Amino acid sequence: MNLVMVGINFRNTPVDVREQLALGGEKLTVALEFIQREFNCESVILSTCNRVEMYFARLDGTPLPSVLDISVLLSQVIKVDSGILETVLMAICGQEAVRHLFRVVSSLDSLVLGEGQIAGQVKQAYEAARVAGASGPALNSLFQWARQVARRVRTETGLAHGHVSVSSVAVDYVREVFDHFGDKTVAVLGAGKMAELTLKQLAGLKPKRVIVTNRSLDRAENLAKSHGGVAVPWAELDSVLVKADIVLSTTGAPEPIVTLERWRGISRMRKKGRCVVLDIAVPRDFDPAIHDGDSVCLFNIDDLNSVRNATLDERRSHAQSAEQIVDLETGRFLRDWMRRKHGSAIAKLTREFEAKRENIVGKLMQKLNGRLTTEDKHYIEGAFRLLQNQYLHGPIAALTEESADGAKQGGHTLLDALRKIFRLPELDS
Amino acid sequence: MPGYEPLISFQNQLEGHTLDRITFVCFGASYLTALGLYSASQVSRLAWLRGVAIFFHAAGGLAQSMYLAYHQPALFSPNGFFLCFSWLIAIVTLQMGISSRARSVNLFSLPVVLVLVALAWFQGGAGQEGAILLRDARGWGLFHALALVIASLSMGFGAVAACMYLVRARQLRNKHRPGTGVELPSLEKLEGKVRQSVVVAFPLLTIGVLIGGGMLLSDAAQLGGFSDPRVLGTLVLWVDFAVLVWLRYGMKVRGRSLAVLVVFAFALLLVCAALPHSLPAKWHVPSTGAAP
Repeated sequence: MNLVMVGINFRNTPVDVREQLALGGEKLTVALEFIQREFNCESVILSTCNRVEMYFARLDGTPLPSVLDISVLLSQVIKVDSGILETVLMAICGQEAVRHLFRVVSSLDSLVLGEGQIAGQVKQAYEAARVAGASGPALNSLFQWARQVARRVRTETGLAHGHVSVSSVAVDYVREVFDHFGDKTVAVLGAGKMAELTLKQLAGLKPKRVIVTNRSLDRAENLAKSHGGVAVPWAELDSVLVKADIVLSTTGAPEPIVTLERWRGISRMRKKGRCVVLDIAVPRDFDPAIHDGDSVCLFNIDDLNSVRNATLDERRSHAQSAEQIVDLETGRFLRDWMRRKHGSAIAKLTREFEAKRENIVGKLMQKLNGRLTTEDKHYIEGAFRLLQNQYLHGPIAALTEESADGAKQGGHTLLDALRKIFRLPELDS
Repeated sequence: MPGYEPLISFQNQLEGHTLDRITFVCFGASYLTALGLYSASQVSRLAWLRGVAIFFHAAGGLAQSMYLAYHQPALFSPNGFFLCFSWLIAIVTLQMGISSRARSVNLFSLPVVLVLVALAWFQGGAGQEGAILLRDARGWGLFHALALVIASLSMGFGAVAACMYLVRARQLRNKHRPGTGVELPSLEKLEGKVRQSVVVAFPLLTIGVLIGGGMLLSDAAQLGGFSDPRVLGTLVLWVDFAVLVWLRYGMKVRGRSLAVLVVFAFALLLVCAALPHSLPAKWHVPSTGAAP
């Protein structure tokens, strides 16, 4: 397959360069138009925070854009020094490019193994190219196949199981305790970055009320305002805990702020049932002794991290089976591609042989007319058909199996040979 | 017997077919196989294994339905009660297991079903003695029977939910990894189901006991008075349920403690339903009707 991928990713390029190379919105359209105008080939550009990859393909064997060409393109579109680009850009061709795309879309090449966003980003990149008229038969079939590969890896392996961010794991635990959230109160202790990130996830559960308390009331008010909640002074901490169903604690207090004794006092005042405490502060804000897994479920940062690490370990254990699927699908895609590419050539070759066989058998039947039974005639026709099939089996199988090597050499070597061997000048795919 | 002609006609139609070959072993073994497959599917998370488990569960349900249709055990005969009880739980939880997100419900319901089938088997055959519901039950007797059966059924589902609650609470106490282990609904949802079962069962049990008391006084049920073990068992059960309701709504007992109490109440219900019929004959007062 005449395919090349030119690009960068988080492994070989620092984040500041990746930021400069990001091709989103207007820049993407300009780049796709530029490629069509300058190189006249199919193209899809995948631009995420961790990679910028450009896929180019042609149905014929004409050379595709090189790293140098792309450096020039990017320097014109996004005004980056082409010298820097030449040092970081990498190119992958043919079968390896197919395999690379399948690994990327399956999240095997992601910073966080098994993350779910990349499949959607690849789909968006392909859609953008399709809408811009930049993709064609080769990249259409490649990217559609890639979606199937991603789906297969997700459903047949455990690569995407579980969550690996602390805030997502916290929400998973909350969902194991509570069924509905429309009547729940979330209390946030502290107003730092972690509080903001985790509250963003918890807000997705659509709780009835959010109460934020912090030693600095201003910061509490800012956080509360951004999530439609209310801020209360730190002095009212106990009354906040009495009302809360879910407590998110992220303070920077040097020692526990809620000891077992204090919690017992709060429990006596609580009219509500159970409470989930997400203590993601270091040092911990809540005494771990309050956890009983029934009326109080306390999860601290170590609990959440251990789940995260266990999930990542499990995903790593599935990576090998995911790689096998990718290898298998790469082979299947290339075989399918070559079969479709040579389909018309195989049909022409078969038709040519059919015509010659029928001509010879017809003449033979005329000569032996009257001396053969119906059974003899069927036998002779069958024998000639068998001979034709046996003769054609080798060339057809060779054409079907031609994949990577054929692509590297322009994809027409075997066709040329067949044309010469069988004296078939019109044979072409 | 006016009113039972269609049933008897249906039974006659079934006569002469192979339905008499269906035994406790047929549906008991199907349920047991389904339970094993449900357990395996929870471990392996293979969808096809779960499909096979549902097939065996449904096969058990079908076999038991045919058995009940053919033998028509009286609901108030000791084995008839357990057979109908187990059949209802099996059928309802089969449907729940297919449609609900709580796919593990059958891991908890099928052991209850198997216990009930075993109790029915220990009570012996599909006897017709004491067949007051289908044959002799009239008026208040029918209400008495229905109230007690629905109360029992509610407690059966409550006990299943309570067991699920205890396992979920254990998972959370051990801070297991979300999405691993037995798939269960949230604690809040399970507690709601447990509470609902108590709320439904206690009033029905009370109604059943009151009607039974009235019948006893008027000698309608032809029991041997308050000293009959079946009457005593029902009264003990009612007291147990009354204590349960008082603990829940008076003492605000909830969570794990409530779940344990509901499981205990259900166990007592089974004992009260099974034990009086297993006592030596001299303990019984001869009767044609019997409370579970």
